[in-house]
Amino acid sequence: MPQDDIGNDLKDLTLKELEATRDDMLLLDNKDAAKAAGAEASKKYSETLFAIQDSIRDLRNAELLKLLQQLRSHESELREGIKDLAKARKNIGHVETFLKVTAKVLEIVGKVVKAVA
Amino acid sequence: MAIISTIRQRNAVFLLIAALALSSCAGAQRVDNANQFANEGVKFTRTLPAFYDEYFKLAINADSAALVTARELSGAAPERLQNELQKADDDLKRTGALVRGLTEHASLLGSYFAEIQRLTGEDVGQGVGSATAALVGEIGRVRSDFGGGSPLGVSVEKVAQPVGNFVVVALKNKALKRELEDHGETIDRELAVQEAILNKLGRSMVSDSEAWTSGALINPVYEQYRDKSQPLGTGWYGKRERYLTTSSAIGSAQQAEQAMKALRVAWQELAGGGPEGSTVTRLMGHVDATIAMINALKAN
Repeated sequence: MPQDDIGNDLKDLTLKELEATRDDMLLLDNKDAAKAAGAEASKKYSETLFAIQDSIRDLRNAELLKLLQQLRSHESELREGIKDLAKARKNIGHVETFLKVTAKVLEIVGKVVKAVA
Repeated sequence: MAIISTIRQRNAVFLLIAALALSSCAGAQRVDNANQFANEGVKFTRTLPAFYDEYFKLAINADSAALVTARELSGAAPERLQNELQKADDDLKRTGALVRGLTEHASLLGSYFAEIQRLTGEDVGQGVGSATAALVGEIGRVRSDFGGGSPLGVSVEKVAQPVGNFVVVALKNKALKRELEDHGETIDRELAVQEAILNKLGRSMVSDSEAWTSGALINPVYEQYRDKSQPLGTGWYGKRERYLTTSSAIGSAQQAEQAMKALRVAWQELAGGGPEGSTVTRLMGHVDATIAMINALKAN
């Protein structure tokens, strides 16, 4: 069977179906049966396995690429979120600093008032 | 009359402290749960690159097992076989680039969770309560130096510390709320995509492990054992030992997807005012199980 025909036969199979077919084809009993059926059957088995594995790689890469692109479309918002959260954290730190500085100023004011009195 | 007024004032202060303590506790619990959630988010995203690596290694091994079996049964010329191998290498290099992309993105997501972890951590604003008390103390002393008295007749310093702590919790909750309003939906979509990726990778890993075990380990062991014309090499023993002792960790490959699902549920609860303590506990269980699964895969 020519390679293109095998490719056409496989094109409607899902990744899950392709993986399951490949896993079955790698089982020793099935491999032995193909060998026992003669050179032509063995060759067809081999061509089919090459084509299936090729489709598995292509489909997986296509799916991963699509999903990675979706993830990348979130990256600017993720970076923005990181920046906003860091800013909020620093602001809380500023409240603490402000309170401490104000207390210190009042302490000095108190000492000055006492000294003047 | 003055005594009744003082008692009323003392009660008012007590009620204020109690109200602040209660609302502070509820808010603090949310901040604490958010912190635990973020801890798990950081831990899990740090684990993802190792999971992607295991996926890629298994994909290469399964591919090799399929190519070797096809070659063995093929009547194709050497050039054709070389082309098949070359195409497979090119495809797998593309897979490698995609896996690196996933790893880089996981690092960014990890940084996001780390920032939530820092914001909700105890270190941020831990001195505000005592600083508020110190400030109020100084105000009281300065008033007294000017001849004034405490307006409530009791030490306002007592209220100052919980007020300060309450303010910190309120500020953290406000920051979280704003972040969830601004980017909550995007992060939810992000976690949904991550879940879909881990579903696909986990499923493929189970299949690849099966293909690799059959094609590269079990088949050669049986074929060599049947062929009495050749002595069994040392590799035979090693392969046999490997498929008989390989852990069943791969069967738990979908655990990573479960952990991502739990992370997403916790995120959604965070948006709704949570997360619940039980959700965080479940999340911790899934993340720990994923880490154990990846460690077992790496040990194989």
